[in-house]
Amino acid sequence: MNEVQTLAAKPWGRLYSVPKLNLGQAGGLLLVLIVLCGVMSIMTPNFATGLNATNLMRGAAVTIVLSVGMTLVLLTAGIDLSIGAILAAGGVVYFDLGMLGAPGPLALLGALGAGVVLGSFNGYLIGRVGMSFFVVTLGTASLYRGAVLLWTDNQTKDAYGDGFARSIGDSILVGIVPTPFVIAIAVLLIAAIALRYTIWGRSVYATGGNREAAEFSGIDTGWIIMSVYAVSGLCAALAGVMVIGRSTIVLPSAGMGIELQVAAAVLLGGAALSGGAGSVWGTLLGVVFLEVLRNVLNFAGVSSFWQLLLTGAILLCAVFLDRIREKRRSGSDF
Amino acid sequence: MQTLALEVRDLSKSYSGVHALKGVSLTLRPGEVLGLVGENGSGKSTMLKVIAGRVEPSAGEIIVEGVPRRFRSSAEGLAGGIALAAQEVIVHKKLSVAENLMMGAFPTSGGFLREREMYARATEMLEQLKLPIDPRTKLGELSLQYQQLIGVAKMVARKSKVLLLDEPTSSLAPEDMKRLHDTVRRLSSEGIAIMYITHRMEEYFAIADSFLVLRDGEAISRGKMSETTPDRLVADMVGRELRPEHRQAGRSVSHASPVLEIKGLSVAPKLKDISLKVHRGEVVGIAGLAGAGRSTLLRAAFGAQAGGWTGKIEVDGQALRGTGISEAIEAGVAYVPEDRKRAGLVMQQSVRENLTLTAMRKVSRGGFFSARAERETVSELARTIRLRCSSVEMPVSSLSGGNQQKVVLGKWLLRNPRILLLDEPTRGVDVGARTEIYEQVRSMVGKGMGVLMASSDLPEMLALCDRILVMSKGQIVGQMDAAEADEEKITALAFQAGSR
Repeated sequence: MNEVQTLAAKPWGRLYSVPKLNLGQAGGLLLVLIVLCGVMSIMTPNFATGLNATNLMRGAAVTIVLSVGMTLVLLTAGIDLSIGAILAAGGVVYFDLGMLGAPGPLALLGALGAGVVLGSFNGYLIGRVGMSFFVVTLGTASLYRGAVLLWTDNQTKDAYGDGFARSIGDSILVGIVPTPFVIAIAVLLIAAIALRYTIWGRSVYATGGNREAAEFSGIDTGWIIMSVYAVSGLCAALAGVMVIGRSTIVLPSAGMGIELQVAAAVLLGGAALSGGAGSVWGTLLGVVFLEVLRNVLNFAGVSSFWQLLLTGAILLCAVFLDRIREKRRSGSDF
Repeated sequence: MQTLALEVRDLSKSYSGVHALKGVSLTLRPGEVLGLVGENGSGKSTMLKVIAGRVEPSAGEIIVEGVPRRFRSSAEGLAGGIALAAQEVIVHKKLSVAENLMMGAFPTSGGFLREREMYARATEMLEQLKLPIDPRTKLGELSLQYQQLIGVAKMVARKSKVLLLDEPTSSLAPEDMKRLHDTVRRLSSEGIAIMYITHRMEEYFAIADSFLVLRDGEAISRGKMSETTPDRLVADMVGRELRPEHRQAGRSVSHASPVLEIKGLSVAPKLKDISLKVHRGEVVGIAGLAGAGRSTLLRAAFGAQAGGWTGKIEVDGQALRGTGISEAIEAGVAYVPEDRKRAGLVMQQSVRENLTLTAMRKVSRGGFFSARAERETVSELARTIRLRCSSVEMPVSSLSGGNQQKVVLGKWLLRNPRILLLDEPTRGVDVGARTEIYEQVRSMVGKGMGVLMASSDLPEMLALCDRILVMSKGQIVGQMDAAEADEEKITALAFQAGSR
């Protein structure tokens, strides 16, 4: 809370006040992250190396792209459970267009278009028809995944020779920085700018914060909700192509269960499940934190079961601490 | 000497350094009705919440019937004999009236609900309050007014030693208010001590025995109701003398072309064949009892009644096609809803963001906000509406009720509306802010805007309106010039038609 007030006191600091910038939770996370990295750098000689940094960035890229879309959806008080399925669908569309002779960039556009269509369908049912986000995205997750499995007959395809996919999903752009990470940060920046400086962004916060009041102020909240799911679909399809580049195969079961990991990272970053509060910067911190944790545990030779367990425990702790702080601050009635 | 029902000593409460209560003491005899008087933000509601155990005090003692108590939750408070009907009524809209009334005290045997007994007891309670409601109705189907009454009735039923009522009448029509007053008197005669908060001064004089005035968390004065006057109380509340509101005389109403004309509007089953006109520079009031259809009428005129209506709504001669809210806003309609927290404000957003929400295009270019234009527009707007807050970057939830209401009204100023629809514009708003809101509405009207307003506060209607329509059961049953109207006439008309 104090940080927010000092920021607002500076003349241009007010530009940086998004609705309820949750520095509390994300700030604590940042501190833990820095301490974790510091300790690891001293204890493990292989941690603070260019190679490990590259691995970390490469690993985080896909999750960042997905979590940007998920953050938008969470801001409108929803969750998109279908991103894993759309990721797979995007990958398949990209690969099949390539098989038909489309050049890489065109195939990518086709995949992104498919992502937007699938996402918009979610958004239409949720924003316009008024169905529950949970039911809709649970349903389409199964629907889209089933369609992908039927279409591909669950055949894994080899994409080793796909240079374009590898360049956006795996290659090094400059020095130790992989291209996918640069793409992910670009997506994040666009979302950050859109959220903070555009009418659309403000409308997303308002719709999530209080849909009725937003509607009564003349905002077409149905359209806003449709748009965030469309963007979420777009992000998922982009992630789908990046995954092909990284893994060099087209897997119909790609991204299975990834929606929950992504949701965990976004919530860890301070977005409120009730909508209207959160930012993509908090989300970035959440993703990076979980990625570093995984990396650290790998170095320590800890089993991946422990990683799963720790991720859950940390998420619960973070939200719990935030809840306590919130209660202290507002002197809540409950 | 008789044991005191409640004694409070040096009660203090601070929220992260801000003092909401500063060492307030009071005593309450059994059967005494104490009016807690003060502006919004003076600490009245906090006081009640602390006594009831809903909020923990920072310091001080609470003594119930001679025994020092420290409640850690509302449930403990209830068990200790203190019942609080809070300002924000907590109800379960999907459950029945009876279930709401019995919540937390269901009649059971061996863990199983005794449904028949529950409904029988609920029926009895409703009869005592003379409420014509079937206890099996889902609460969400009742009007906001009745929901509030049920929320209060639930606490009344708890047979506590001390009953704390925080604005139990804020959305009630006069008749429902009288029923509640009767109940308060009955409970008092049964020896229950009552602390009462309201924003209608006349209520304190109608039911309270004594008063305690709070200002900025401190007790300013205490005494018998019979030994004070409304002016004295108001002076203590605000710390300065307030002039009474004057009806604005000699306003120029142009009767040439109506700015809003409604012809034969029906919304089954709530509205039947409503026709009315509001002219440029005119304030038209709609009076009526709870459930008369006033809010439905305003919502329909704002385009918020999705489908299901027939008739014609014209703004400045142009008929609305009925495609929704955006169309009405574009045509120049503005709407201040009855429930600002639910429909008026995005509570966690800043004052600035709320103020520009209706006119984001005016402070942006090509979809991108111009930070400077927005800042300048908002600071000018904040001055115009006399907003009192430390920074427009504060979340709007941190403002007092009165200042929140100024934001709900102020966010329409940027659009220069032709017609303003007001639903209970000063509900839960303190005296000072109320006057400022009236002045704002008058100044907008002076520039040629028309106003259609609904209010349960008749003095407010008489102070603001040029013409008053009386509604009953979804129809307009009468109309009078404000100059000829008084509270008795309006009330008589509303009731006569209602009982027919």
